[in-house]
Amino acid sequence: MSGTWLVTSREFTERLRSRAFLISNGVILAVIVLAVTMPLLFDGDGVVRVGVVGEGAAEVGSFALAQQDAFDVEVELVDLADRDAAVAALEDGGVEVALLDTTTALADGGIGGRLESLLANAANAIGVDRALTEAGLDPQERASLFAVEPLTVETLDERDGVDLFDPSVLIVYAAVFVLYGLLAVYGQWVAQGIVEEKQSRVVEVLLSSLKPTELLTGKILGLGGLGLAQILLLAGVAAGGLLATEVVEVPAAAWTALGLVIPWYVVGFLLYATLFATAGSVVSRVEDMQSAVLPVIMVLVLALFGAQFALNDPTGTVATVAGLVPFTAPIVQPILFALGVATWWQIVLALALAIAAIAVMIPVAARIYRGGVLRTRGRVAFREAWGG
Amino acid sequence: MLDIHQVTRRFGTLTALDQLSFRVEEGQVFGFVGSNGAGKTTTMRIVMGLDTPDAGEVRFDGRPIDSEVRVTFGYMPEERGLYPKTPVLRQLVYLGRLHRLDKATARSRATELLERFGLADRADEPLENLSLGNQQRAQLAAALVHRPRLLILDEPFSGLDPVGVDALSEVLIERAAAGVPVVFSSHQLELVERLCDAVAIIDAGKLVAAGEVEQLRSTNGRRLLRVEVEGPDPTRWAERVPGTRVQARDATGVELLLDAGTDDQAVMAAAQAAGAVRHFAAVRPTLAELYREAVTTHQAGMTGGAA
Repeated sequence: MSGTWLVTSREFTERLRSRAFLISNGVILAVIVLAVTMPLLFDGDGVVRVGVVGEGAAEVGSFALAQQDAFDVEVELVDLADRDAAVAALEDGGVEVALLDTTTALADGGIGGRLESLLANAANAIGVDRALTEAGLDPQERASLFAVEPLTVETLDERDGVDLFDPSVLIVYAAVFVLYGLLAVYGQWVAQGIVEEKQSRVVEVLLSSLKPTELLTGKILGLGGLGLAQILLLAGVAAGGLLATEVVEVPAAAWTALGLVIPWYVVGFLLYATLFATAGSVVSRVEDMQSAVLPVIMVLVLALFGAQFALNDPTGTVATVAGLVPFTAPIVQPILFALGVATWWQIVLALALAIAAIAVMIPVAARIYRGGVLRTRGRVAFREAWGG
Repeated sequence: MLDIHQVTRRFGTLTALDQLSFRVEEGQVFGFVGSNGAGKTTTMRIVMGLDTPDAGEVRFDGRPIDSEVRVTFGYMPEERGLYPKTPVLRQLVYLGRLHRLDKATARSRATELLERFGLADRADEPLENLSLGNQQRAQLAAALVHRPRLLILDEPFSGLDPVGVDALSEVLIERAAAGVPVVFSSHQLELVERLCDAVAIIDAGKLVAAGEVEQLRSTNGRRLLRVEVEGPDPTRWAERVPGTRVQARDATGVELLLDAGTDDQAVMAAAQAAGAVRHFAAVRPTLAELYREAVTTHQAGMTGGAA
């Protein structure tokens, strides 16, 4: 087996074996599983149960049932004997809201926007229908009056109707946040591994059988591979959970955006790993590492700010630029895609720029590493490391 | 055979190694001696490719050392170097595999070495749980696991207890007997004298003396006699012998340094005249004495040259 591959497999398995890694992953997985199944535990299959007391209420309920698709809510009617039964059903969670007559609804606290609109609309419709019946219109005339689309809201600004609470945006934002975390953690592991090998002097033993570039490459591939395995596992569990439970309906675009997070992780990790490696190469003690990697962390945090910016103003200059600049693109570009504002040429350009940046950074990092890795005393000036 | 040839290394204005040349033969235990900062570690790092000379070169078996050759060397750095948190056996296997052993061979060799150094029961513990002496044994095992063709050990004896010293000495002699050149640096000159077939003494980056210890003694030219006389005048007689100086005296005898051309038989006659001679023998210079003398002469030469 080649030296690089041995280093790769060591980096991969040593981290994988560490208790901290296993525990943190267990916790993350538990959170994902819980987040996906929790709503299921609370309201079963996502259908809202509406109690109806009496004939008038039932009429409103039926109308709401007929209109539910237009309001994007799924309701189920439950017949209740009287107000007391309605109160009891609300308290034990049998229903979420109960219609007492054509104009009154009883709820255990506030009810959600869409559901309230649906019911209000239905109640209003029934009220108007009764008034029209009294005015002498026949059923056909009345029906034509009610075949009206509900109000759609268009916003004035350029967001093209971007809904920040759209599940697909939320899912991609969560994925990007995980991506940020992975880049920060695995990137720091690259730096930490370099510094630990310098501090323990084991690097002097290793370099009698390995070239510095082989050692660095193995380290980056091993840790990057573990990160990739982790993101695939997490994404797989999350996606599997979402598909299985159907808590939220994930549009096709969101799946594409989620899928894009994986190549962006690969590109982002390679890019940030070179930065972290450079930072780690110039210090000799783990205690000094934090200050050395701080500038790199700052860039990452900046990228996360860029993602926030993109959410607020997806087509603004800041978001567009941040979506293209290699060090912010891995975090920002998936958001732009999920918001539907990224054009294909932007995505291709961003990837091309990032890959070009990697091509530039790898030899730079390798040179700094070669120059710095054997200088095990104190902090090495970048110029000194560069000189070799 | 390791050949250090005219190696010069400068750090800024400091010349750490100045045209250093010496040779280590196959199967030799070779002691590398010099004060702190003399350039021993720099020389060893250059052999291991961890530093590059500004001039000169290092050859092994007549060829410049490339990475393919270097992978057959075993090295123990001065400040040691293993992963503190990794179990001992696992990192020995890893290092063995980096030195081109397959997994099974690396495992069996590492296990063998740990048994030999009495660490078999600690094999699965992280290195940092071991005592310093045991960490050093593990470090030695790391240098040996791939059965190197050349051993470079920087201060391997420092920090070892007497049992550890004996075990390490035994290993070095055994490796040398297998034909491996073994180079180690040490400040413990008695140990070097006892173990080594040959030594190199360096001072301020320059070679002061090199060769077999016996040969250094004979070229040293010093003639020192210890004479013990039983009688009324056990020591004072010595002051009257022409062409000699009393180097040391104690209750039972004297040490006499003979000038060039002084006949030791004349000393014998003078001693017999003073009483019954119980002991009359040449005192062989110890390595420590050779070292001190060589370094003093070298430093006197340097300051003389500067003046």
